[in-house]
Amino acid sequence: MSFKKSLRGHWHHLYEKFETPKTSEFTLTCQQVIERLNRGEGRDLSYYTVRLYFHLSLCSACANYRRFSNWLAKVSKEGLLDSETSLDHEQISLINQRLLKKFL
Amino acid sequence: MKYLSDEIRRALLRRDQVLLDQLFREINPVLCKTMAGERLSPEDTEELLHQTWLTFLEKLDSFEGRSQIKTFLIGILINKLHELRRSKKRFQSVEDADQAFQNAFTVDGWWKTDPPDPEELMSSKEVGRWIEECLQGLSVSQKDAFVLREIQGEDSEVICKILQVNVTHLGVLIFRAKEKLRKCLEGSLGVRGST
Repeated sequence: MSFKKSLRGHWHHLYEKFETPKTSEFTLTCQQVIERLNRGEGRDLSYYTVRLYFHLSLCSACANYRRFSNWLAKVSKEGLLDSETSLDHEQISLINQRLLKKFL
Repeated sequence: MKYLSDEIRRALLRRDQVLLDQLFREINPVLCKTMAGERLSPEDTEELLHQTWLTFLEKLDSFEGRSQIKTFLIGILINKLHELRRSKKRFQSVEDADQAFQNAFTVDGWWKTDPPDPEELMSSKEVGRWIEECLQGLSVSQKDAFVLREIQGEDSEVICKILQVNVTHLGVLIFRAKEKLRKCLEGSLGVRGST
Protein backbone atom coordinates (compact mmCIF):
# COMPACT_ATOMS: atom_id res chain seq x y z
CA MET A 1 0.00 0.00 0.00
CA SER A 2 1.32 3.42 -0.92
CA PHE A 3 2.09 5.98 1.75
CA LYS A 4 -0.71 8.17 0.41
CA LYS A 5 -3.25 5.34 0.63
CA SER A 6 -2.03 4.35 4.05
CA LEU A 7 -2.33 7.93 5.30
CA ARG A 8 -5.80 8.23 3.81
CA GLY A 9 -6.86 5.11 5.66
CA HIS A 10 -5.90 6.66 8.99
CA TRP A 11 -7.23 10.13 8.29
CA HIS A 12 -10.45 9.93 10.26
CA HIS A 13 -8.66 8.38 13.20
CA LEU A 14 -5.98 11.09 13.16
CA TYR A 15 -8.53 13.84 12.72
CA GLU A 16 -10.63 12.71 15.62
CA LYS A 17 -7.55 12.31 17.80
CA PHE A 18 -6.10 15.71 17.09
CA GLU A 19 -9.26 17.73 16.59
CA THR A 20 -9.00 21.06 18.35
CA PRO A 21 -10.97 24.28 17.89
CA LYS A 22 -8.08 25.53 15.75
CA THR A 23 -7.82 22.49 13.45
CA SER A 24 -11.58 22.24 13.07
CA GLU A 25 -11.57 25.78 11.70
CA PHE A 26 -9.54 24.55 8.77
CA THR A 27 -10.74 21.00 8.24
CA LEU A 28 -14.05 20.05 6.66
CA THR A 29 -16.19 17.04 7.48
CA CYS A 30 -16.97 14.45 4.82
CA GLN A 31 -20.53 15.75 4.58
CA GLN A 32 -19.33 19.30 3.96
CA VAL A 33 -16.88 18.07 1.33
CA ILE A 34 -19.50 16.04 -0.53
CA GLU A 35 -22.00 18.91 -0.41
CA ARG A 36 -19.43 21.21 -2.00
CA LEU A 37 -18.36 18.68 -4.61
CA ASN A 38 -21.95 18.10 -5.66
CA ARG A 39 -22.52 21.82 -6.02
CA GLY A 40 -19.59 21.94 -8.42
CA GLU A 41 -17.40 23.91 -6.05
CA GLY A 42 -13.66 23.44 -5.82
CA ARG A 43 -12.84 24.77 -9.25
CA ASP A 44 -11.44 28.11 -8.13
CA LEU A 45 -8.42 29.01 -6.06
CA SER A 46 -10.23 30.11 -2.92
CA TYR A 47 -9.27 29.34 0.66
CA TYR A 48 -12.26 26.99 0.73
CA THR A 49 -10.85 24.99 -2.18
CA VAL A 50 -7.57 24.54 -0.30
CA ARG A 51 -9.54 23.13 2.63
CA LEU A 52 -11.51 20.91 0.25
CA TYR A 53 -8.42 19.45 -1.39
CA PHE A 54 -6.66 19.04 1.95
CA HIS A 55 -9.53 16.80 3.04
CA LEU A 56 -9.62 14.95 -0.30
CA SER A 57 -5.89 14.31 -0.17
CA LEU A 58 -6.25 12.59 3.18
CA CYS A 59 -9.66 10.90 3.15
CA SER A 60 -9.94 7.72 1.09
CA ALA A 61 -13.76 7.64 1.34
CA CYS A 62 -14.23 11.12 -0.11
CA ALA A 63 -11.44 10.54 -2.65
CA ASN A 64 -13.32 7.41 -3.81
CA TYR A 65 -16.53 9.39 -4.03
CA ARG A 66 -14.85 12.09 -6.10
CA ARG A 67 -13.23 9.57 -8.45
CA PHE A 68 -16.55 7.84 -8.92
CA SER A 69 -18.33 11.17 -9.56
CA ASN A 70 -15.82 12.25 -12.19
CA TRP A 71 -15.98 8.88 -13.90
CA LEU A 72 -19.81 8.82 -13.76
CA ALA A 73 -20.00 12.24 -15.40
CA LYS A 74 -17.69 11.07 -18.18
CA VAL A 75 -19.45 7.77 -18.94
CA SER A 76 -22.89 9.37 -18.66
CA LYS A 77 -21.98 12.00 -21.19
CA GLU A 78 -20.52 9.42 -23.56
CA GLY A 79 -23.25 6.84 -22.93
CA LEU A 80 -26.17 9.19 -23.41
CA LEU A 81 -24.80 10.98 -26.42
CA ASP A 82 -24.08 7.64 -28.10
CA SER A 83 -27.41 6.09 -27.20
CA GLU A 84 -29.89 4.95 -29.83
CA THR A 85 -32.43 7.61 -28.84
CA SER A 86 -30.06 10.57 -28.97
CA LEU A 87 -30.19 12.67 -32.10
CA ASP A 88 -27.13 13.34 -34.21
CA HIS A 89 -26.13 16.66 -35.73
CA GLU A 90 -27.86 15.90 -39.03
CA GLN A 91 -31.17 14.97 -37.40
CA ILE A 92 -31.13 18.15 -35.29
CA SER A 93 -30.40 20.16 -38.40
CA LEU A 94 -33.45 18.68 -40.14
CA ILE A 95 -35.63 19.43 -37.11
CA ASN A 96 -34.34 23.01 -37.13
CA GLN A 97 -35.41 23.39 -40.73
CA ARG A 98 -38.89 22.07 -40.03
CA LEU A 99 -39.24 24.29 -36.95
CA LEU A 100 -38.20 27.29 -38.97
CA LYS A 101 -41.01 26.59 -41.44
CA LYS A 102 -43.52 26.28 -38.60
CA PHE A 103 -42.57 29.61 -37.05
CA LEU A 104 -42.34 31.74 -40.18
CA MET B 1 -25.93 35.98 -28.60
CA LYS B 2 -26.69 35.26 -24.97
CA TYR B 3 -29.03 37.86 -23.56
CA LEU B 4 -32.27 39.22 -24.96
CA SER B 5 -31.72 42.81 -26.05
CA ASP B 6 -34.58 45.02 -27.24
CA GLU B 7 -33.30 44.63 -30.77
CA ILE B 8 -33.39 40.81 -30.57
CA ARG B 9 -36.80 40.91 -28.93
CA ARG B 10 -38.20 43.00 -31.75
CA ALA B 11 -36.60 40.70 -34.33
CA LEU B 12 -38.15 37.67 -32.64
CA LEU B 13 -41.57 39.29 -32.49
CA ARG B 14 -41.49 39.78 -36.24
CA ARG B 15 -40.14 36.18 -36.60
CA ASP B 16 -36.87 37.19 -38.21
CA GLN B 17 -35.74 34.14 -40.19
CA VAL B 18 -31.99 34.68 -39.88
CA LEU B 19 -32.21 35.19 -36.14
CA LEU B 20 -34.47 32.21 -35.54
CA ASP B 21 -32.21 30.02 -37.64
CA GLN B 22 -29.19 31.16 -35.65
CA LEU B 23 -30.93 30.54 -32.31
CA PHE B 24 -32.13 27.09 -33.36
CA ARG B 25 -28.63 26.13 -34.43
CA GLU B 26 -27.08 27.43 -31.20
CA ILE B 27 -29.63 26.28 -28.66
CA ASN B 28 -31.41 23.19 -29.99
CA PRO B 29 -28.36 20.91 -29.58
CA VAL B 30 -28.27 22.02 -25.92
CA LEU B 31 -31.99 21.33 -25.51
CA CYS B 32 -31.54 17.91 -27.11
CA LYS B 33 -28.77 17.15 -24.62
CA THR B 34 -31.16 18.09 -21.81
CA MET B 35 -33.58 15.47 -23.13
CA ALA B 36 -30.84 12.84 -23.33
CA GLY B 37 -31.80 9.76 -21.37
CA GLU B 38 -35.53 10.44 -21.63
CA ARG B 39 -35.89 7.73 -24.27
CA LEU B 40 -38.02 9.98 -26.43
CA SER B 41 -38.70 9.16 -30.04
CA PRO B 42 -37.36 11.65 -32.61
CA GLU B 43 -40.97 12.75 -33.17
CA ASP B 44 -41.54 13.42 -29.46
CA THR B 45 -38.22 15.25 -29.24
CA GLU B 46 -39.22 17.47 -32.15
CA GLU B 47 -42.64 18.10 -30.65
CA LEU B 48 -41.10 19.10 -27.31
CA LEU B 49 -38.68 21.44 -29.08
CA HIS B 50 -41.59 22.96 -30.96
CA GLN B 51 -43.64 23.44 -27.78
CA THR B 52 -40.64 24.94 -25.97
CA TRP B 53 -39.95 27.53 -28.65
CA LEU B 54 -43.65 28.26 -28.99
CA THR B 55 -43.91 29.02 -25.27
CA PHE B 56 -40.72 31.10 -25.44
CA LEU B 57 -42.07 33.23 -28.27
CA GLU B 58 -45.43 33.59 -26.55
CA LYS B 59 -43.77 34.68 -23.32
CA LEU B 60 -41.29 37.07 -24.88
CA ASP B 61 -42.98 40.05 -23.26
CA SER B 62 -42.67 38.57 -19.77
CA PHE B 63 -39.01 37.61 -20.25
CA GLU B 64 -37.03 40.42 -18.68
CA GLY B 65 -33.73 39.36 -20.19
CA ARG B 66 -31.85 39.02 -16.91
CA SER B 67 -30.97 35.41 -17.61
CA GLN B 68 -29.56 33.97 -20.80
CA ILE B 69 -31.96 33.01 -23.59
CA LYS B 70 -30.60 29.46 -23.35
CA THR B 71 -31.32 29.28 -19.61
CA PHE B 72 -34.87 30.55 -20.15
CA LEU B 73 -35.45 27.92 -22.83
CA ILE B 74 -34.02 25.10 -20.71
CA GLY B 75 -36.39 26.20 -17.92
CA ILE B 76 -39.36 25.98 -20.28
CA LEU B 77 -38.21 22.59 -21.58
CA ILE B 78 -37.80 21.22 -18.06
CA ASN B 79 -41.38 22.24 -17.30
CA LYS B 80 -42.56 20.51 -20.46
CA LEU B 81 -40.64 17.38 -19.44
CA HIS B 82 -42.22 17.56 -15.98
CA GLU B 83 -45.67 17.57 -17.55
CA LEU B 84 -44.69 14.57 -19.62
CA ARG B 85 -43.25 12.65 -16.67
CA ARG B 86 -46.13 13.58 -14.39
CA SER B 87 -48.31 11.51 -16.64
CA LYS B 88 -45.91 8.62 -16.00
CA LYS B 89 -46.10 9.19 -12.23
CA ARG B 90 -42.39 9.20 -11.49
CA PHE B 91 -42.04 11.68 -8.67
CA GLN B 92 -40.09 11.83 -5.43
CA SER B 93 -40.21 14.78 -3.10
CA VAL B 94 -37.13 16.83 -2.32
CA GLU B 95 -37.73 16.09 1.37
CA ASP B 96 -37.24 12.33 0.82
CA ALA B 97 -33.93 12.95 -0.90
CA ASP B 98 -32.87 15.42 1.79
CA GLN B 99 -33.44 12.82 4.50
CA ALA B 100 -31.51 10.20 2.55
CA PHE B 101 -28.53 12.53 2.28
CA GLN B 102 -28.54 13.20 6.02
CA ASN B 103 -28.77 9.45 6.66
CA ALA B 104 -25.53 8.83 4.77
CA PHE B 105 -23.53 10.72 7.43
CA THR B 106 -23.14 10.63 11.19
CA VAL B 107 -24.23 13.63 13.25
CA ASP B 108 -20.59 14.76 13.18
CA GLY B 109 -20.58 14.78 9.38
CA TRP B 110 -18.52 11.62 8.71
CA TRP B 111 -19.54 8.82 6.38
CA LYS B 112 -21.58 6.10 8.10
CA THR B 113 -20.35 3.65 5.48
CA ASP B 114 -17.45 4.65 3.29
CA PRO B 115 -18.11 4.68 -0.46
CA PRO B 116 -16.38 1.66 -2.01
CA ASP B 117 -13.34 1.97 -4.25
CA PRO B 118 -14.92 2.39 -7.68
CA GLU B 119 -12.03 0.63 -9.44
CA GLU B 120 -13.99 -2.49 -10.40
CA LEU B 121 -16.88 -0.54 -11.82
CA MET B 122 -14.59 1.85 -13.65
CA SER B 123 -12.69 -0.93 -15.34
CA SER B 124 -15.81 -2.29 -17.05
CA LYS B 125 -16.16 -1.40 -20.70
CA GLU B 126 -19.90 -2.18 -20.81
CA VAL B 127 -21.03 0.44 -18.36
CA GLY B 128 -21.86 3.14 -20.91
CA ARG B 129 -24.83 1.22 -22.24
CA TRP B 130 -26.29 0.73 -18.75
CA ILE B 131 -26.34 4.41 -17.92
CA GLU B 132 -29.48 5.19 -19.91
CA GLU B 133 -31.29 2.28 -18.25
CA CYS B 134 -30.17 3.32 -14.77
CA LEU B 135 -31.19 6.94 -15.33
CA GLN B 136 -34.80 5.76 -15.61
CA GLY B 137 -34.68 4.82 -11.92
CA LEU B 138 -34.05 8.39 -10.80
CA SER B 139 -36.79 10.72 -9.68
CA VAL B 140 -37.66 13.65 -11.91
CA SER B 141 -35.76 16.24 -9.92
CA GLN B 142 -32.71 13.99 -9.41
CA LYS B 143 -32.52 13.30 -13.11
CA ASP B 144 -32.88 16.95 -14.06
CA ALA B 145 -30.22 18.00 -11.58
CA PHE B 146 -27.83 15.25 -12.73
CA VAL B 147 -28.29 15.95 -16.46
CA LEU B 148 -27.95 19.70 -16.07
CA ARG B 149 -24.85 19.38 -13.92
CA GLU B 150 -23.01 16.43 -15.44
CA ILE B 151 -24.18 16.32 -19.05
CA GLN B 152 -24.72 20.02 -19.66
CA GLY B 153 -22.07 21.24 -17.23
CA GLU B 154 -24.24 24.13 -16.06
CA ASP B 155 -23.33 26.21 -12.99
CA SER B 156 -25.18 25.71 -9.72
CA GLU B 157 -26.70 29.17 -9.93
CA VAL B 158 -28.24 28.45 -13.35
CA ILE B 159 -29.50 25.00 -12.33
CA CYS B 160 -31.07 26.37 -9.15
CA LYS B 161 -32.88 29.01 -11.20
CA ILE B 162 -34.14 26.43 -13.70
CA LEU B 163 -35.21 23.84 -11.15
CA GLN B 164 -36.34 26.41 -8.58
CA VAL B 165 -34.43 24.80 -5.73
CA ASN B 166 -31.84 26.23 -3.38
CA VAL B 167 -28.19 25.29 -3.58
CA THR B 168 -28.39 22.89 -0.60
CA HIS B 169 -31.21 20.95 -2.20
CA LEU B 170 -29.33 20.84 -5.47
CA GLY B 171 -26.35 19.21 -3.74
CA VAL B 172 -28.68 16.69 -2.11
CA LEU B 173 -30.41 15.86 -5.39
CA ILE B 174 -27.09 15.24 -7.13
CA PHE B 175 -25.83 13.14 -4.23
CA ARG B 176 -28.92 10.93 -4.36
CA ALA B 177 -28.75 10.66 -8.13
CA LYS B 178 -25.14 9.47 -7.99
CA GLU B 179 -25.84 7.01 -5.20
CA LYS B 180 -28.77 5.50 -7.09
CA LEU B 181 -26.75 5.31 -10.29
CA ARG B 182 -23.85 3.65 -8.50
CA LYS B 183 -26.12 1.01 -6.97
CA CYS B 184 -27.89 0.44 -10.26
CA LEU B 185 -24.62 0.11 -12.18
CA GLU B 186 -23.18 -2.25 -9.60
CA GLY B 187 -26.33 -4.34 -9.85
CA SER B 188 -26.31 -4.28 -13.64
CA LEU B 189 -22.75 -5.46 -13.81
CA GLY B 190 -23.03 -7.96 -11.01
CA VAL B 191 -20.48 -6.01 -8.99
CA ARG B 192 -20.93 -6.14 -5.29
CA GLY B 193 -19.73 -2.99 -3.56
CA SER B 194 -18.16 -3.30 -0.15
CA THR B 195 -21.08 -1.45 1.51
